[in-house]
Amino acid sequence: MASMNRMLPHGRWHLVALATTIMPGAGWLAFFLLLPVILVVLLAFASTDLQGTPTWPPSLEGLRQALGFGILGFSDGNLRALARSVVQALVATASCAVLAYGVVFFILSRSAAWRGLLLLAVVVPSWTNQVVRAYAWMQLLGPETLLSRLAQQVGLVPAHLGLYPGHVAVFLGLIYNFIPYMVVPLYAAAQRIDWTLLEAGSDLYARGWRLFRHAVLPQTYPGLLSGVILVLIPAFGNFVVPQLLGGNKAAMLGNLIANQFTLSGDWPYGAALTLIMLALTLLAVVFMRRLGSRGDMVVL
Amino acid sequence: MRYGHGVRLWLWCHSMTIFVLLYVPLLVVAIYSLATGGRVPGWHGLTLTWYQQLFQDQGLMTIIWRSVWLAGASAATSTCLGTLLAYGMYRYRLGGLLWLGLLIYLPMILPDVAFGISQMLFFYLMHEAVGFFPLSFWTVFIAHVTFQIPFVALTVHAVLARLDPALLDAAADLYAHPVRAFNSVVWPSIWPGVLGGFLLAVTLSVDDFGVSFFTTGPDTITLPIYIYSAVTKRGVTPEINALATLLVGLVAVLALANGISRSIAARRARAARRTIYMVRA
Repeated sequence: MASMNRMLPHGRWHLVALATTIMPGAGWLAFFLLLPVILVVLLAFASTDLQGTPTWPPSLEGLRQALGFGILGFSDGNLRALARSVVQALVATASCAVLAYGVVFFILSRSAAWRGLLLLAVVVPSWTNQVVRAYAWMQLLGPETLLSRLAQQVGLVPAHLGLYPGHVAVFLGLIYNFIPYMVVPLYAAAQRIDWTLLEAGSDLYARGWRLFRHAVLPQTYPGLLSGVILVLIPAFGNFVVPQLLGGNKAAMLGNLIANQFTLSGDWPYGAALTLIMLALTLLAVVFMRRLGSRGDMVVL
Repeated sequence: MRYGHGVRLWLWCHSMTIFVLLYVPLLVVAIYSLATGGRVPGWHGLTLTWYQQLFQDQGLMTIIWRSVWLAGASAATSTCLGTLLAYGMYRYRLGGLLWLGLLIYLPMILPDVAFGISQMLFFYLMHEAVGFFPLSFWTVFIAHVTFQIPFVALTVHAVLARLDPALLDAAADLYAHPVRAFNSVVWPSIWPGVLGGFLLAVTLSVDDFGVSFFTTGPDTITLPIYIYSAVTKRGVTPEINALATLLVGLVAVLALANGISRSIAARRARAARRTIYMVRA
């Protein structure tokens, strides 16, 4: 059986092959990726000496500071930024999901030749630099623009103020950045949909939300989950969008971290904030995987 | 025919709105970059002044070339490493490769800031300890290669997975040396996929801001960092509009090249499969 070749390397040659194919890349990742991440985790537990450089013995000072216990006593600024990041990320993810379902089913309703093109059209803007994307929205949402005038009329923002800078701009910027990451996996899942279930549903007079919930959602659930992971995590960790579109009021966890390493330079504190971000990110991934592993068991 | 007319209309309107919102911001930047006043209110006609100003700025030209060189060099390196990695994973699916999977997914789930910060700290402490890697072009280069490898590896692996394993069996049955098997059986059918991986890596490099921001030295800033600091200092300016338009144009070209190389890859994989079945028959 020649196909055994694929399963087990045998003989010295195959070990050499293993070392020359996998080792360079894996070694690079281990040295330049794993090691730095371990370093950050260690640094989060370092203490600072009088000059402010991180040293051993370990301490929990960085983490305490990250949770808001500073020299001047407790302040809820950090926890607020953390909560803001979580809420912004969740709201952006939910909005992306709602918007993406419409786009995905529109693309599916087109002819095969159009589908690939339309999907590409959704993805291409996300390949431009995120600074450029945020910058583009700055022009559209400034105080004198059409959209801002409209928002002033409706009463969404006070007169003479623009939608940018502010929470609305951050929210729009996040959706704009990450909606392709929701559309692509949803599309992949929706492509394999069994349409007879939808027909059965509509034969039983299910309409709108009920049809979606019982016939569409269970079938696209895995795609939705990967989309949620792909949007939630980068939205949660993003710092460019809130920095450029949010002004001072909309700082998120990513901005706090960036500030520690660019402005003030308290490294254990910054590393502790990064550790919190990493922990929440991993928690989200593990949670999503749990939801995913239940897969078809989920009866909605 | 699956949808009712109402649903169809609603989906159409919804999606058109999304497509318009996806492209209007970029279009507005492009249009403003051509306006004489720099803004539509001061629109008196078309001009290329802003582009001329860009190309006369020597400092900016250096930054642009640095970014191009960074994208090309890091993508070439990560394509070599990533392709080998993918091929190794494809050929030797050992149970012990789970750690490798984790290593590959780690950079994909790490938020930009966390990734950038960890790289910066690593380079800084390495520099303190052994004198290597002061923050410079090479640190950005290394960081870019690091986040590109997984994407290249997964792209190439996806192409390899479409290959018929019988091709490799056939090569082994004919006593082909593994290197020969790769060169004459695998490579001809996967190179467009590898090219796609390379273009994806270039795109990722051009797209990156967060990681470069933390890993570059003060004298080796890249184009996105230049734009970022110009925007935070001066806000919206016609020069930045022109620069942003150039960047968007570059990405559009890359996207086109990527699409073409992908469709070639798919066609080649199908052709290779057809050949093997014909040989078998």
